[in-house]
Amino acid sequence: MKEYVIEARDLKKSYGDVCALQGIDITVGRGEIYGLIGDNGAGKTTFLKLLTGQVWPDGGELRMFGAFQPKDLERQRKRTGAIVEAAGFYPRLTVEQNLEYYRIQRGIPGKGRMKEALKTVGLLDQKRSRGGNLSMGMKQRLGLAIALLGEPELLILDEPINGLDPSGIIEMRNLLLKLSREKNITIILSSHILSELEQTANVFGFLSRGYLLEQVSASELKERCSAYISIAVSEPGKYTAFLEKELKETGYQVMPDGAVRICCPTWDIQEYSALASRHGIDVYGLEKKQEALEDYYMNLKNRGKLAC
Amino acid sequence: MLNYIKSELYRIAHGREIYLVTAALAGLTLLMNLVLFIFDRATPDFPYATVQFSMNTLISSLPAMFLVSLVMVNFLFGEEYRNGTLKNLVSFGIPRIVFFVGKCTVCLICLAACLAVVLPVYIGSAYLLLHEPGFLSVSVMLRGVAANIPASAASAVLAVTLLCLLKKEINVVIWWMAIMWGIPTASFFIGLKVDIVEKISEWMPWNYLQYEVAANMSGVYKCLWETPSGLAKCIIAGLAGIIIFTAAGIAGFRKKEIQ
Repeated sequence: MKEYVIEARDLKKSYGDVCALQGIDITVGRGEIYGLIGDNGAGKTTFLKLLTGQVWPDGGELRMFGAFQPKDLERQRKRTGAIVEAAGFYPRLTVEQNLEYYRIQRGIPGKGRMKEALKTVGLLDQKRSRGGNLSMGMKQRLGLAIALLGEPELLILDEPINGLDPSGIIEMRNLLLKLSREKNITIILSSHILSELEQTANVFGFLSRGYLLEQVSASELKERCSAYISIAVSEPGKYTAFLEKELKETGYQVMPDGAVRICCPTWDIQEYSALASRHGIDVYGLEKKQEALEDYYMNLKNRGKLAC
Repeated sequence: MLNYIKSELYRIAHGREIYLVTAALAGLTLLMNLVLFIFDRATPDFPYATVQFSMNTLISSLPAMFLVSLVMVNFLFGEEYRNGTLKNLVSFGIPRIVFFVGKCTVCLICLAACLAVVLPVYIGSAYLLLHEPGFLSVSVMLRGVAANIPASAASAVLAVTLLCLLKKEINVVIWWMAIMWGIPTASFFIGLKVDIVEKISEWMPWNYLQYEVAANMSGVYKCLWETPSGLAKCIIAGLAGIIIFTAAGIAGFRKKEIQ
């Protein structure tokens, strides 16, 4: 049986009149890297804040490591590390002093783990720099080092690659993958950069206006984000009729721009242009594409699957 | 709780805030005595360059101790929301009551440390720079400071409470002034008409330190802490303040959402 680290059932949260979460169900299994995807105001940060105990839910149930009573949840949070919105640290203390502060606070014996955390995030050389003097990316790393100090079983990261330079993004991605692979740490992260999430997460949760549109694993997503052929023709209606009759293709969609999108094509690409030529239909464009996470997300939103 | 207190003491020892506040306060007392000393040198028969006058200044303005608490709390914990360190505490599973009480405790330790430096500088510089030993005034001042430690602690707890509940430091100062000074002052004036309010207002530290303390150059002191009942009043009022503000802080902060 799958062990869940996070289980949210019908979770609701409002800020005054604004409904941030309108009853979402999210489950995160042990060892998973869960990517939360959504526009600004979709409810990603609110969900992460509920996990970290910064805000309280208005309804529904939240379980972490099986615990759901507020006191028990508080206790279970000792098993987590988190960066929500921006990394929290004291800017006038050095990197090393910040970690020492949290080491004492969390009752971690010895300084070995501090060194290990600094090494893991690549801040060992900056350990004597003041937190406030670090670059944006370095600050994120310091936040991550603080989060990793307690050897968390669950990492909660809100936009962890914000402000990172390209090499920093790659390093962060590799680091998260390594933590998941080697230490079996469960990670839940949100990001606007979908292409980045696609390379990191193995489960995705699509949020929009406080609703969870869909929760899907990377393998399921890969199946759904299948290859398709897009063909722009002079008479889309006529073309689709022949498509069904002669090539027995039913999985197609006529896009707003008039192009015909053939999902999961069964024939070679040339067959589709030949079909048009045979019936005197002009072909303006023909290409084979792989639907990316971004397309999937946009389609999901546009399909109006949500009730909001 | 102990771990939290230890970590805060580590942070404060490695920061500069406590040193700045202590140096500023010690410098201020030194400056006051230095000004008296300079005037003494420059003005013939200057009557105020005495230890007694210097001590009387503090005796008659003991509410300054409350302001010191506010300044200290603001310096030590004023940037918790801005730095995002408060949300770290919550997300790492440290119970809110632990770090609220921890913060209050740390603040009191820091205030005691600050006092341990400022008072010797104050008395020492007075003895070095000014005339007359003024033993009586020093002992009255020291007893006054000791008697008002509970009220100063209550003031610090109030400041911690407000800092945990309010995001902006300016709001903390406004609310602190309203509670520590505004309410007692208003109660005093309402008390002139309404007896019950008068009785209550007499127990407010700001009021009794304003109206029940008299120190003059003739060496006659009428300070409430010099009588057993007055001393008891100072201690009871201070302890009541600590209990009320701690309870308010715990109740309020338990429900507070940290954005």
